[in-house]
Amino acid sequence: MPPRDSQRDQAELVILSLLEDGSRYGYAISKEVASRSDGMLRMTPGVLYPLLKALEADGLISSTWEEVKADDADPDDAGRKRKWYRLSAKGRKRLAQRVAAHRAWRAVIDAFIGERPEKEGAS
Amino acid sequence: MTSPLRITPSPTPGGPESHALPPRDSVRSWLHVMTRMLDAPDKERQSVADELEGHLRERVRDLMLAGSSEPDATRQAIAELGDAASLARRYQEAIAPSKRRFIMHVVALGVATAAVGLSGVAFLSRSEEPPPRNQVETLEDGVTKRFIEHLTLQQSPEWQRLRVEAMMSQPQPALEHSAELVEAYRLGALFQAQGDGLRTKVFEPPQDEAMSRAGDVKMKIEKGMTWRSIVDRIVQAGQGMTVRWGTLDAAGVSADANVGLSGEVSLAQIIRTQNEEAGGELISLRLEEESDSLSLASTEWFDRHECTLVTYDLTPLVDRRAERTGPSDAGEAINDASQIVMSLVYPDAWKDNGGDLAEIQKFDAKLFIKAPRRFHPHIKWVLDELLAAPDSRQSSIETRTRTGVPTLSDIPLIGRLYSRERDATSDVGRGPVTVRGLEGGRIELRGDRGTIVADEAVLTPAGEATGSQRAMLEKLVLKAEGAVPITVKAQDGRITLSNGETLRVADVVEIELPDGWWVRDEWNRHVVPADAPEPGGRVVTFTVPNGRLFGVWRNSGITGDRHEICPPGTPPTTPTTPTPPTTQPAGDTLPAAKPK
Repeated sequence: MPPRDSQRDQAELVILSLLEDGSRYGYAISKEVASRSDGMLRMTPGVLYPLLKALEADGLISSTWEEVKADDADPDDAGRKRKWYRLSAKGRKRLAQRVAAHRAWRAVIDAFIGERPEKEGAS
Repeated sequence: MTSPLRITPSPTPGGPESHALPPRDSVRSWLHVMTRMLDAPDKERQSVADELEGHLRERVRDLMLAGSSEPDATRQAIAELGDAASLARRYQEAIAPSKRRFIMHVVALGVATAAVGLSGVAFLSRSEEPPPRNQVETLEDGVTKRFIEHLTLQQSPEWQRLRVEAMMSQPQPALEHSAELVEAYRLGALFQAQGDGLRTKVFEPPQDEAMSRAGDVKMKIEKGMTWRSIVDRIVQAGQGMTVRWGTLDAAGVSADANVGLSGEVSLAQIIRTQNEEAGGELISLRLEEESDSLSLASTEWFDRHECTLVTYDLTPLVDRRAERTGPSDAGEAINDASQIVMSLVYPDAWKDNGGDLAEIQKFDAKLFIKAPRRFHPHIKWVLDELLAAPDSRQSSIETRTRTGVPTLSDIPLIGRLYSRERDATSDVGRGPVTVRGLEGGRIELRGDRGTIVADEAVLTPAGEATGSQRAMLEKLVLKAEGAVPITVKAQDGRITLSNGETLRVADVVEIELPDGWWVRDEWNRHVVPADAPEPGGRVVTFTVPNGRLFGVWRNSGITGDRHEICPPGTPPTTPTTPTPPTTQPAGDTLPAAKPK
């Protein structure tokens, strides 16, 4: 059966991948998604935060609240708390499955389009 | 009405100088509205609000660094989150993914009395398909009505029909519905929950004497102590206590169970913790006044043994209804009142709702309510509020009459709003109001007293969304009339309209000029000449793109700080005539596109 390739799964894959590199908070994730994809991928906050909540509810990520350091932001932010997310063991396993499934799926599609000249494929 | 502007005052009392709340308050108001829709514990709501507030602050700061003004940045940041109802729904699904969502075939909305109580929703079947077209939807009563917190109305792009989304408090997070037409009853009553006359009151449960006594009974308990050993300790300390172990056992609290707390705690804390963990009122405590002893048993046991029959006389409510809608409808007031009680006070307990603890019988203007003793203070509070409600409604209706047509901005709204006024003279209507989708994605609400058009409307019975209006882009559509010039000015990033008598503030203004009307700018140049008739009327649109006024007529436009819309016969002079800017040819060019 081909892997489900829904937007939600893709977003999940992106978030889990980012968190594999280290813990992050929501706004940093949204900025990094945009910058690493050269703006091709945009995760709106209306999608991102409920998804983080769902991933946390599923035990794939965990979170902690940490105080914003004074040298990390403008003076208004000092003392405010940020919610940092990190990948859980279950999330790491899920990420490995997602990556494998994505690669397998990509290989299947490449088998059809791989040898086609790029120009033709784009038309 | 003599005013050429048939407009209501700005929803914010005090006029233009008070419309601009500090942006941070806009954020908080919006977050309050959004999290209020979540069916989640307060702690969870606070966590969501804190995280989103952090996001919004950082986003606003980044946008300001990129050149936006603070109000613009705040608006954009909130807009990026989408509309509050959808976001709340997504969160709700994340919190409780197993909760089901239903597509309703039939929806209607009613407001039984002034501030609370929606009546009339039924779902006939569960279906992913939109219902057949050209079908007028009607309202029927149903099991979910009491859980509706608000409705969102918007056009569904894929169905080309009206999309009605009902946010539910429980047990379903949301209901979606598509219809050509929706009949909403007594929409006027929804208006009164919002605005200057908003009166709110929170139910405060009466003090529980037993729990307050139990709060004084403090003891040091060690880890692993059982309920029985705790009761023994209390009795040894001299406080009389009766425990109905059998009832506790039936409720799942065994005498030999570990209470799960240690340290210096009170009996009240132990009971609260037990109930919190059980997710409901599992066990209760009473104070026996005669013997001055405490009695501990399951809440269910107390409920069954403390059932009392109380009559509630609602004659004033029934009389008022008869006065307003005629004697034949007066009995409905009693029905509405009983529905509201059963919806708000322990809904699952009522026989009408499938429970077996409480029941209501109606006779003339009286309600006979047999219910556990602890229900009655809550019931009395709700009914007292219904008896008190017409005062606020009355003043609200007077306000509407005095100030003209209510617009959608009078309805609690979440997210972006464009409102339009039409030739209505009073309320939209207190009879049935028809809601339908229009071309271009707008919604029309038509009542017996007028029609309003909006892009999206959120209707709530409690008017929780007051503050969110700061984040809306409000559009006025007006027709000029009368004999007094109307001044259009840019002020604090918004547009103020004034004819010396009425003042109105909006973000976008579309004004239709009848024959002979013309527009001049602050340098007395005629932006729209008087002798330029056009089929269907001439319309000038004003916006404030960069803090300055920008008026567009057909394909030409001009910027400035102040424009004047002049009726026929206005002298062609202007009080002040400073040198016009050389970079802005008279009324025939559009300004350069604003860089993003």
